[in-house]
Amino acid sequence: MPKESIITSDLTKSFSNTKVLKGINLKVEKGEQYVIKGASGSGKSTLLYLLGGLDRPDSGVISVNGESLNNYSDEQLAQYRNEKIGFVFQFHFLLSSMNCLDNILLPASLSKKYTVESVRPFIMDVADLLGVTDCLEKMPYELSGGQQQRINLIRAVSLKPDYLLCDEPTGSLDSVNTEIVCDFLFKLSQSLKITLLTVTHDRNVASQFPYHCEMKDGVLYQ
Amino acid sequence: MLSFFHLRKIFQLEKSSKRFFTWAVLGLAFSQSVIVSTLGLMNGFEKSMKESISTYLPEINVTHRFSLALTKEDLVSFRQIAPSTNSFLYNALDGFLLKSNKSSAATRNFELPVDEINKKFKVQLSSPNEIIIGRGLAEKLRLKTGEEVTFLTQEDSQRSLGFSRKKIKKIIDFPIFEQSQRFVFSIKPQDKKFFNHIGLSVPGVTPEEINSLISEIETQMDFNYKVEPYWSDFKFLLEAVEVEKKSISIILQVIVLVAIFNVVAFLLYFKEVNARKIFILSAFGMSKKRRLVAWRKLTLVVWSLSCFISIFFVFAFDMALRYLPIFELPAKIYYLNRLSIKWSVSDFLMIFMVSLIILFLITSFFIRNIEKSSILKNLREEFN
Repeated sequence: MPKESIITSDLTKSFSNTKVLKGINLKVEKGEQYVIKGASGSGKSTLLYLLGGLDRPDSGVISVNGESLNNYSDEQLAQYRNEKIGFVFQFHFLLSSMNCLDNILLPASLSKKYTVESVRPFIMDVADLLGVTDCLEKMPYELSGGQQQRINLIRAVSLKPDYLLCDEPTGSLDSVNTEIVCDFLFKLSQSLKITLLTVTHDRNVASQFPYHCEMKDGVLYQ
Repeated sequence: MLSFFHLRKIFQLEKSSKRFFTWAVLGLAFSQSVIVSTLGLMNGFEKSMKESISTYLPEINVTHRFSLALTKEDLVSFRQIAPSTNSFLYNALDGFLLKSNKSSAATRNFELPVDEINKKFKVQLSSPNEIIIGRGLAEKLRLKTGEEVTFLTQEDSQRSLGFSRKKIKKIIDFPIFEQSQRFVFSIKPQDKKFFNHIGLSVPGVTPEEINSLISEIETQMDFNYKVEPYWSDFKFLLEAVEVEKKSISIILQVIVLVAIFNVVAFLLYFKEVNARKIFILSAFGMSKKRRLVAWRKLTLVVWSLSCFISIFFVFAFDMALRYLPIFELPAKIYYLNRLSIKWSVSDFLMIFMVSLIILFLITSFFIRNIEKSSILKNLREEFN
């Protein structure tokens, strides 16, 4: 088994009295692209956030690169999110009070490992790759939906994470922008050797991924 | 690292939050300024009271613990102990003033050296049979300047009583009503050998300086003597003011408590409005510890601003007390018709620190509750 991977065993999670995840066993290999399909409310986003260290499971183990996330303190979990994980959400969540560059630099400004200045050249390269260099000084509301999502993508990969976790990344986009964003996701994953794990209910998007999983009522079929 | 200014940029307040923030800060500022002003007002009352009492009496008074009489020898020894003061023998005797069978009043008669009388009352008394009385006494007995009245007073230290006729030379306005009703001043008779007080006059010094001078005198003098400041007759009233000051400041903390709950409400509202931003920062690596620090910083900003504004409020109250007619004291008990706030830095610091401690204790409870619930759960609630 490769060391750089995510492995979960018997993962469960409940909210109030609703059991959202019912014993999830998942294996994600380094550098590959995975998609988790499933209907709305099936628990796929919850699984993604647990893998991203945004919450802790009720039971079960999440092992990342050979280390168990269960043993991490809050501080270590925050560092893990900052350095190892890139999040892409359905809604771009760009902060309207800051320009796009400042939004992109947000993870760096929270980092203990990187400085804002050290990541700036890489950000410029990725912005160039995604064709949004001229958008960096603009405010988020001045951009189109597709541009905003590309800025969101740059922010997610700004610290060169090991894993890019995408929650319905094309959910709020039209078909043209969906294709562009998917294209960029694969491009970034391949060029930066980032493991891509995407949650979607869009069959067209899902069909582009080499590895498929399906979530049904809190149970994962890999 | 995410600086405070960075956080300020991220969490730029929108219109409703700005209003809420403003009222939370103003509420806390107002409540703090009410306590400082009340304490300052009582300090002001105490100061005005002391200043008023001291107007016509010596600043320090010496009596004998076991004898009613003090002699020139006693005065000489005190002049050696406190050479910087103007010291003199005088009498303070209880008496009775009779205008007619139906018109009389109990008095407190002060027999002072002639130069003290002339200096303090700006009037020349030529004989011990001329007196100065207060307007309160004059109005009570319908007395006029130049009128003669009968006095029943202690003639000497043996407490023998005697009648004498005295002429009212001047009627004056004493600042304290009790003085105005009872105090009678005259010059001390040349032939008198025994007095019951030594007065030490040190004009223009503060009560604190008087206290330290008394302590200094006490270390050098004989135990037989008793040295007291001029306000000792009113010491129970002044002690009561001190006690009231403490109790009122404790009671008024209730207002601060209410204002602090307002701040808590603002924090909860802020959290609701900014749930997505908090989620984003958490997703990008902001730990619980750093979020707690950020909450603390926000609380500290509210507190600091409120402290700053409360200083302005205190000055505004002080101005209002000094100049607005509505704040004139209606009572005639003390002729202190204008009070002002006498605040000290320690008053401000004490109130600010107490409110900071209460604020931190209460907000800690709510902030911990905010941070206890999972980010994911909050986000699900936000989107549902």
